[in-house]
Amino acid sequence: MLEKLTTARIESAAELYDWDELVQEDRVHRLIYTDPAIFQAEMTNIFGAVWVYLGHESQIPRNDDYITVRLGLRPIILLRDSQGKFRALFNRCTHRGTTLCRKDKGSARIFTCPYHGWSYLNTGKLRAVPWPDGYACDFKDSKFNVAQVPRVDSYRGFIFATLNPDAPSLLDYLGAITKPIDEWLDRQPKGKIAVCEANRLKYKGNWKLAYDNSGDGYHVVFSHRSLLEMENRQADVANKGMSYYKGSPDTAPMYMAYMGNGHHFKDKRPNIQKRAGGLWAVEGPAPGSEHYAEELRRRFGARAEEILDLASSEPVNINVFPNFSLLGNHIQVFEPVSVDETNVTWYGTAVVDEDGTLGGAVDEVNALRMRTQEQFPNFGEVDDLANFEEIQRGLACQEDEWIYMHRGLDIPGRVKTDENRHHHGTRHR
Amino acid sequence: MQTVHDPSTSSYYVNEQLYRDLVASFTDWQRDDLAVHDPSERDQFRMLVERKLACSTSLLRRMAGDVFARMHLLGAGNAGRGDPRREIAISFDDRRRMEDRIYRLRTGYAWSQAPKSRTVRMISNVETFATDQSTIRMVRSNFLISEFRVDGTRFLSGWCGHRLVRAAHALGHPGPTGQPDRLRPEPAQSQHCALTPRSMSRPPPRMISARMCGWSSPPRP
Repeated sequence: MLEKLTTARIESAAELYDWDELVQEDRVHRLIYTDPAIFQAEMTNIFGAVWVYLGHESQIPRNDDYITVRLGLRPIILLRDSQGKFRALFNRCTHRGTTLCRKDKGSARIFTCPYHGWSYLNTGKLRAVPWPDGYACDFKDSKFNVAQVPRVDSYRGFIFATLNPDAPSLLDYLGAITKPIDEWLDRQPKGKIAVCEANRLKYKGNWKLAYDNSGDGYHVVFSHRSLLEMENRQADVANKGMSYYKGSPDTAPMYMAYMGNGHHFKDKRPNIQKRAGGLWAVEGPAPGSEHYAEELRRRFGARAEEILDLASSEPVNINVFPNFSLLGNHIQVFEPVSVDETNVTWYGTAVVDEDGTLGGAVDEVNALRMRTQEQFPNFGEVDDLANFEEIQRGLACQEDEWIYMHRGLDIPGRVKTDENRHHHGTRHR
Repeated sequence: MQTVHDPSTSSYYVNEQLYRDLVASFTDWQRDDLAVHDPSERDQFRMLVERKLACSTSLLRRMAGDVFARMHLLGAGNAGRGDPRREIAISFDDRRRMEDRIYRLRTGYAWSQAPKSRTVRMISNVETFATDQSTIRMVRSNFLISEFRVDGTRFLSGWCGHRLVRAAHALGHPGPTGQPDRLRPEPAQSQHCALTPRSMSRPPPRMISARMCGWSSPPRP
């Protein structure tokens, strides 16, 4: 458990502040979002201590494939080595610190440093040093190999890594959040998806603003009012997209659940009719919607509805602390840059139908699914990011210290606790 | 008889045929041997591209939606220049989605543009390429957009590819708008946008009181 990580690093961070004073039951202090010292502590004591999402197996499908990512601020080469093992190498030459790989993706058995030509196998092992006679040392010493993240593991295609040798297993760290992850995957044939490019955004604000927001059902009707109006502008009945937010989020059937270890889950599925075609019925209009729906119905009859649901956005926010969310059909990754700058990447996902479960409809489903996934980053996320930036600006008022997050607190019956001591309810901040 | 669909209210023309044509049109088209060198033709296309982009800018800025009336349009941006059926794009707008953009801005609740930012666009390096059809030209242009907001300025740069088709009514026959139409912008793909970070004012450095230590020695197996 995160709370039990009693290491020297945690103790050193504890000296920074009285954390119980900064994070209270009903409010948090502005310094949590604005203090560079806290940000630095987070890079070490959170991103350097828990399981952090790095990438999806479909991004490195073959041996020797790699992508370059970051673990906190650390540049990382995530790869399958020549034997097929997942590794997360520090993207840093042992010799003088130069990054070894400058591409975002590719395939390589060997990484050669552009500076002095030291080369490494994709296992991290030092392969060769130019003119070694100039050194008296033994280059077989493992201290000359590329440093790497000691623990890399995958949960159903999602690859995580941790620098913490004392961390629990990935499965234990994920804990109860595996259930919604499983449900998210298992609506696809054989539970498989593939990453298919990304919308890359950035904002001038702290990374936690985005993570917090992914569990916030209170903001939608205000922050996304333009989107709600837009996607219903031609609807006979205004029920498209996130229209279920138009009333109070407290009385809608959706709920928020705290899943332990910082993970949370906003489950909006209870707002949707539970039937084949229920998701497609509320999906906003997208390029090609009418053509593909008509074509699939012509070919598949009643079965077309469940096929169309695969092109529709799954109404969930599955948030795995600290940097990973499954939103709709997207994999969203939060990448801190500095205390007031964050990259937010929305990876699109495609359906993979290896055994023909969809009867040959997979190409049509994906053509439509690509278009539905472009909607929220274009018309919703941009307004979230504008608000995050304005929060960061507002928090410069240093004398006004507190941020309130107590919606639902102390209201009888609002929050329930299940047998795993996880909290469920409609406390939408 | 084929049903005529209003592209403002439904999307039938974004189909397999269109995707195939789009991918074929935007594959292997920026070739030296296809470059058009005739200065008058190049100038004509440069003006068309400038006018279209200026028109788009003006459209969004002034929110005048009727400019695109009766035109089937497609504006797409694929970061990896891949197949838009298998990869998400930065944006892939058909006629209806372009109208969605305008509608959203007009609501007054699009916070990313409230208040509206001011922009200046520059278009340059316009290149024209022939195709295997004499009525179709491909045009590439680079752009730089400066956006001025209350908290600073940011710059967006990228390039546009346009596929321009000489319409059947180009020889004096009236087009859909009742006016003779010469060259019509057709689906434009591969508008590659690169977002550059806004200039940031960083808070002054402060002393870190606590000792910050990472794992002392990452493993090197």
